[in-house]
Amino acid sequence: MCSLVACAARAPLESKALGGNQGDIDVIIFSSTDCPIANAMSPEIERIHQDLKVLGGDLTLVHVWEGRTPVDAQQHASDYGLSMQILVDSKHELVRKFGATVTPEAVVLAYDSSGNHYVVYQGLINNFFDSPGNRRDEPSEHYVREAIVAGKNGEVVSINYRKPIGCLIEQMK
Amino acid sequence: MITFLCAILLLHEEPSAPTWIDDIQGIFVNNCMPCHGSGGAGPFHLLSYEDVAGRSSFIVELTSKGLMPPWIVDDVGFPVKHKRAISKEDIAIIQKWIEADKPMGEGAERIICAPDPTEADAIGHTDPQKPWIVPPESEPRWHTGIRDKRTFVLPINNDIPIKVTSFEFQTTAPRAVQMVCFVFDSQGRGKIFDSWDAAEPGYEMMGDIGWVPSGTHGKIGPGLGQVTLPRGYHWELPSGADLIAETHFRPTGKKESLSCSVKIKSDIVQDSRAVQEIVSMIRRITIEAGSDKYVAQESLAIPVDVDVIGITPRAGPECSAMKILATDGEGEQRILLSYSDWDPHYGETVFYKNPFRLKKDETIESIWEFNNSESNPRNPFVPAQFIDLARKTGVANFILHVVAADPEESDDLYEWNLSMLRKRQRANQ
Repeated sequence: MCSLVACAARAPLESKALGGNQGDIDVIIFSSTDCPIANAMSPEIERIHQDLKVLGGDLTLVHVWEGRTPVDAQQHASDYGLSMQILVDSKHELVRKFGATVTPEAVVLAYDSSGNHYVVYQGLINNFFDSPGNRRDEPSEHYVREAIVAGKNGEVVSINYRKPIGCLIEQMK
Repeated sequence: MITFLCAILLLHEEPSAPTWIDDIQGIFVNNCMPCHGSGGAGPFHLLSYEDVAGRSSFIVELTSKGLMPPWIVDDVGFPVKHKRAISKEDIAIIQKWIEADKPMGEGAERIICAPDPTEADAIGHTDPQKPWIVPPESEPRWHTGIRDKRTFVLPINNDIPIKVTSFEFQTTAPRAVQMVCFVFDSQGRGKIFDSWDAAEPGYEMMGDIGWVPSGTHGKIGPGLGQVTLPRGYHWELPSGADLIAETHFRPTGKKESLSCSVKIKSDIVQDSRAVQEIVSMIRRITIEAGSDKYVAQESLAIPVDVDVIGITPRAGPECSAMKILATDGEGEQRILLSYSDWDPHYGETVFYKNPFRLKKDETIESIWEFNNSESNPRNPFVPAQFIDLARKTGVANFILHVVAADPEESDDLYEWNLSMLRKRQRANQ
């Protein structure tokens, strides 16, 4: 069971059972409190969250590192100025569901006419990092933002998976 | 017969799996603790079983690819001190430990002690009540191309000259500070720059003071807080000097409060030799947008026999590779230092295990390759733009830390340096 840390205006993602209406867009970002790559992208993650809210969508930050508590996640959100809803995926339920491999890794979800979710895009948030330890001054390509727009318009993105760069998630047995 | 059976049994005995207590913790203490210990520059600790076991696959990935520990000096040329790399054997042991389900082993975990604080012969610091706030994200501040840099002045207030053998630099934001270039300033130039923006600590220009480049007295990289000259060598620090610290920071995603301090040590041996610098540099580059290989080079003839104890490399993120070679009178070439994948964030001063000699009139040739295309992930100009960069102390340098082989030629070396300075000043006009 994922622990809800901070609740935004909409219901937490788990209680929606990943459901929504056609035209809704949600974003999940797998993260970790001490992954420097995920942390360096916190300001942009918060901006995406704010922009997505305007479109009626939710961005949920999912902490995946074993041993992290909701208190740790709450402190982290305060330190990095993150205001989205946050989940602690202590048993890696969401990690396994989406096959997430690193932090940060984004999943952009849309919903069909029956309310079932499908993945519009998964992987890199943008091209800020070229490899761990090797980053640009600022990103020039914004994959999640493009996927949000595409999903909102019922379109597909040309590349729906980009191998994410970040801190490898230690898979649970 | 019994002896034979025992031998067979021994041959078939499975080697025991590595354990945290016996095999793994030591590897991390020896290789990772400076950054991933308490108060270090690393984003997380790698001290306890839980610290390591929870991210062991990631550790193997980074170490196997050579991304950690950070070390970008090519494995050619003269042997260097303080090389940072985990051996292939140690990586294989960690891999075996993971495959065996990360056994803890028996016995107590090693207790990690903080190093004894350094006793200082002089100290300096920025005003701790007035820290510099590192922004959460990279932002251009001085002008296009100058990002994420701030230079601080640390007054030493030494009444008498000091023969500096090492200094320890500390910041309150080690995770945000990636690289620091140092130069001692005995003329108060840094203080003048600092006074231009009195409201905030430090200043937004590079740390050069006049024609003296930052890095003249060493550079430190991630996790390294100390510059230590080889035994028997020192830098002359005049009285009333300041330490100028050109700080290259890496925003961490949140605001960080940055103050700096330095502890200077003078651990002099008899007949200690004063270190001077030979600076090889190019002052200006102009590169078309999209050009992925622009080469610049400079040749210098060594004025007197010198012993080289170390080299400080300096170049921006547009530079993709650099090397410095020496060619003697018979045409024999030696690589002094080489980076085939240059990254300015990891370009610390390299000291050699043993000094090596360059003979009078031997030629040193420095070669810098620049990649001003988008294939250079560190190119700050995205999309690529026409580059026209100039810096009177050099947009790219190798600073050789040397002593004259014959102490009586030290003054000649000093005079040669002055003549080079004047020559470059004239070229600047």
